[in-house]
Amino acid sequence: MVSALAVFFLGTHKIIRELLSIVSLALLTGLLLMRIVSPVSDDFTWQYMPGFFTLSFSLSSFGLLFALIAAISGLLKSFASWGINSKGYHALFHLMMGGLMILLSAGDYISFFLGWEIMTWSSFMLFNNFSSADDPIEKSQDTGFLFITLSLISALLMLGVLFFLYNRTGSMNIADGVAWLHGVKGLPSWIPGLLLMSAFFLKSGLLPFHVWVPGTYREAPHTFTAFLSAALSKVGIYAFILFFLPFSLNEGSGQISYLIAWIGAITATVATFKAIEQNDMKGLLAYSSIGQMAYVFTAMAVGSSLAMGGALFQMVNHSLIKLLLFFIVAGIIERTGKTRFDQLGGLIYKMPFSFIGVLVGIIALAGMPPLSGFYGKWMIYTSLIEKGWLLVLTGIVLPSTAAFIYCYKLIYGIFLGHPTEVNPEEAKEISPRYRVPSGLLMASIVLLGLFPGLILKPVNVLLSDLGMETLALTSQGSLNAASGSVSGFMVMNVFGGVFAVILILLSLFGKKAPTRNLHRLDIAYAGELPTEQTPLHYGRGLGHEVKRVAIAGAIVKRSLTEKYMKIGNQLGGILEHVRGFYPGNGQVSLIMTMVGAAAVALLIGLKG
Amino acid sequence: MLFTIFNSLLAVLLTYSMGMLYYGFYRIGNARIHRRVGPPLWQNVIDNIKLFAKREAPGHGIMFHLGPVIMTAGTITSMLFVPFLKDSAWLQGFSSYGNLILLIYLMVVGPLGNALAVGVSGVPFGVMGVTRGLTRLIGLEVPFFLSVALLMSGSGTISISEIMMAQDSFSNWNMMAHPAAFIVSLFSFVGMMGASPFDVVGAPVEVYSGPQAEFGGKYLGFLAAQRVMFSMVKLILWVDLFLGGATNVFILMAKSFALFFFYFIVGAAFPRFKTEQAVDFMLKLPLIIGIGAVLVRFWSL
Repeated sequence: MVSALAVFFLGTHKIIRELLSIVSLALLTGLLLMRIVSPVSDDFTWQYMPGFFTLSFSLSSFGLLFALIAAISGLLKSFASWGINSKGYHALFHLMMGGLMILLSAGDYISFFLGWEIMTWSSFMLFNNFSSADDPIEKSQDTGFLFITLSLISALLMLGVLFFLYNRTGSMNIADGVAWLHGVKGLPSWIPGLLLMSAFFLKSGLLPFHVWVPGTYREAPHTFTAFLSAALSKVGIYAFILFFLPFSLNEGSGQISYLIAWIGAITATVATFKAIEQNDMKGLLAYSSIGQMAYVFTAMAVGSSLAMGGALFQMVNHSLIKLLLFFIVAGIIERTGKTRFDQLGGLIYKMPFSFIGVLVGIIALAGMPPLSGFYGKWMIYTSLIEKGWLLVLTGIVLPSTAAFIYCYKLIYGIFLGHPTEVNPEEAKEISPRYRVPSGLLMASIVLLGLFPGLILKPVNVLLSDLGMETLALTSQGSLNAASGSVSGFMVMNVFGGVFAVILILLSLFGKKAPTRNLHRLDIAYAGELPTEQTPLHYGRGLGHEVKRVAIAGAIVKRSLTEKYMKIGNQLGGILEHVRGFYPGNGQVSLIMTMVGAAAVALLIGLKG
Repeated sequence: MLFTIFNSLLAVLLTYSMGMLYYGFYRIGNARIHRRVGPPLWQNVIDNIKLFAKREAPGHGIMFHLGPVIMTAGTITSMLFVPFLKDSAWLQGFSSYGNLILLIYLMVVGPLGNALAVGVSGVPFGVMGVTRGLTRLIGLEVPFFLSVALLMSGSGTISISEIMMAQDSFSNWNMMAHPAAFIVSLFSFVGMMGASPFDVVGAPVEVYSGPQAEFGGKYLGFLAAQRVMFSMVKLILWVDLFLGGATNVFILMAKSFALFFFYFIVGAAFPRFKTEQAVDFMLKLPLIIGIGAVLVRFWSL
């Protein structure tokens, strides 16, 4: 069904523009929602070569969740980017959406791989051809190169393992391969497992494969970055759940789970300190995405129901938050033409809506009560404590505390401090097409903060599909774990109540002792009188002191991207020599290749 | 509900008066170390009233106005999620709806809210102070989280009341049962209370480069009032977690004053760290003790 829908998009994209784009995405969202209301079985099989391969499609509850995230993100994104994209962009976007849907509903290796590749290639073309960088061709080359190289590595790893699984099981069905992976103990299942895992880590940008993320996010069209972060980064998680989740439930895989948990923690730490270093908004958000995704993997490695719930909650939160923040950032870039913190500043009273949007976003991103971000983290922390993985917990507390700094930098650099290159007199609030989706996203973040239990109903369906225990749901306003509970409803109300009382008190004082608003240069400035020329905005430098902390400095100083580039250059040099063997004549080289292949085949045959 | 609200007001009053008393002692104590007589015990109250009585306060728009409000609201909300007494219906606030992890995060809400006001005031030194504070927080939170995680996993609950209840006799106090966790937490405690050697953010000579640089009048009044209350919330939290809790207000005051005295001694004795030195220190000695404690725990299991 979903695949057919995707084809339907592809068939019609030539004539549609914005409206049709939105309508089709809305249709997709609607159809997916209908699946929830009436869970009809619409498994779809297609005899591609009768008797040989059968492509099978069926949407599991997990696939449905991810498809919904993608469809809603796509819908909001289309709304936000109303009228700014060309026909080719739309075609590619829908092609990518189709690939994503194929991937999410794939039941066999071929459709899985096909969907994966369609999605990867179309997203590559999207960000490469419609780059937002000032000089697209010049700037995107390295980024595009990194992206496509890593994607190819990921695809080859996956293809190899999938062939291996086919070879072992004689079946193209993903379910059989997964069963084999978990049935076999020890080394034979570890190696393909780890290779496959690397492919998925790569897609989600986990260390040491995160290097493609920042550049890609920075240079992709602004609203497409939102989609990349909110939906595409989740594909790695989907694939991980599809292939590996029973792994962490498996008794014999304690070490691997523990390893994954640490990979998550280390990724988060590195990404967080890198994020603090960034001087542009999208770069900061890109690194923060890497960090937030890493928590999800840590939580999935814990493997308990609570942790899994936390992982899913964190994932949904991350989609909401990143859509919101990237939309607003896109709006600000559109209005001001500036992307860096040292170019912005002092815009709060000119862009109050954007300010509140970013504020809601960073409170949730930092995982602070009373908004939704906290409750995902709460579930993850509690599950880590219940599991007894205290060192891993410490490992993720470090980045989530350090995350406060980049959250503050984001809001300070844009809205607070002093204006720099943007004249606040001329600045205008972001366009309504960003404001409408942002408003919806803000409302859902607040709603989930007030009623975190809302997430538990779908989570429980997914958990029972995985054969895990469901989570206790006492009321919509609270979350429960074996070792304690928390009521989001009460937290929000108590905070709100106290806030209101104090505000009233302060206003009462205000009658007797009024506030005198001063000019922005009229500040306590170490006894000096700052002028317009005094550099008062701290946008660029904010957080740079963190480098002096030993661990942060060590992380910031090193760059994996450069190392990879070095390896790449070395490899290029070697391959240059290899090319020397090519005699310059196609036929000769073909014959040589065939002779070589025959020799290899003979060797294998002799050995066998 | 009315009882809870009445209790909440009581908690605010109690922490305010406790805080003013303790900090009065602090000033006299410090003066005696310097061979001065020092101000009267209630000098802090006088200072606070003076700030509220100022005829006007400088401001920078609505966000600047809201900063101290968020700060105070954050402090009082944190206070309401800490149970003050054990085996008592009094002074429990809303603690049954929350837990220790929630509290740790609630305690950061206020300072971050205030950081927005500091940012909007346009004082670069203030923002520098905020960054220092946030950087220092990395150092404080990591060992602290490790120590309370040891407690939580040791007692099998994340609820503060239940952790407090489990310490029924002196030998069961968590400072006896989990000495390593207690020692690790004390480092963070000194830092969170803002005592030397971790006081670079709010230290008197650093005020010009601290978060409070631009606040005056009623705003500074609110900030000063919430500061002493916040310190009391932390003292009470440590009493609950490590010192066996208290069954009535007098025991609570005795135990919290013991902790306060420790803070006073450390603060008077040690020179100040720079921000990064503080973080480096916290990520070395306390963290190593904490990791050692975790390893010992799992070795013996």
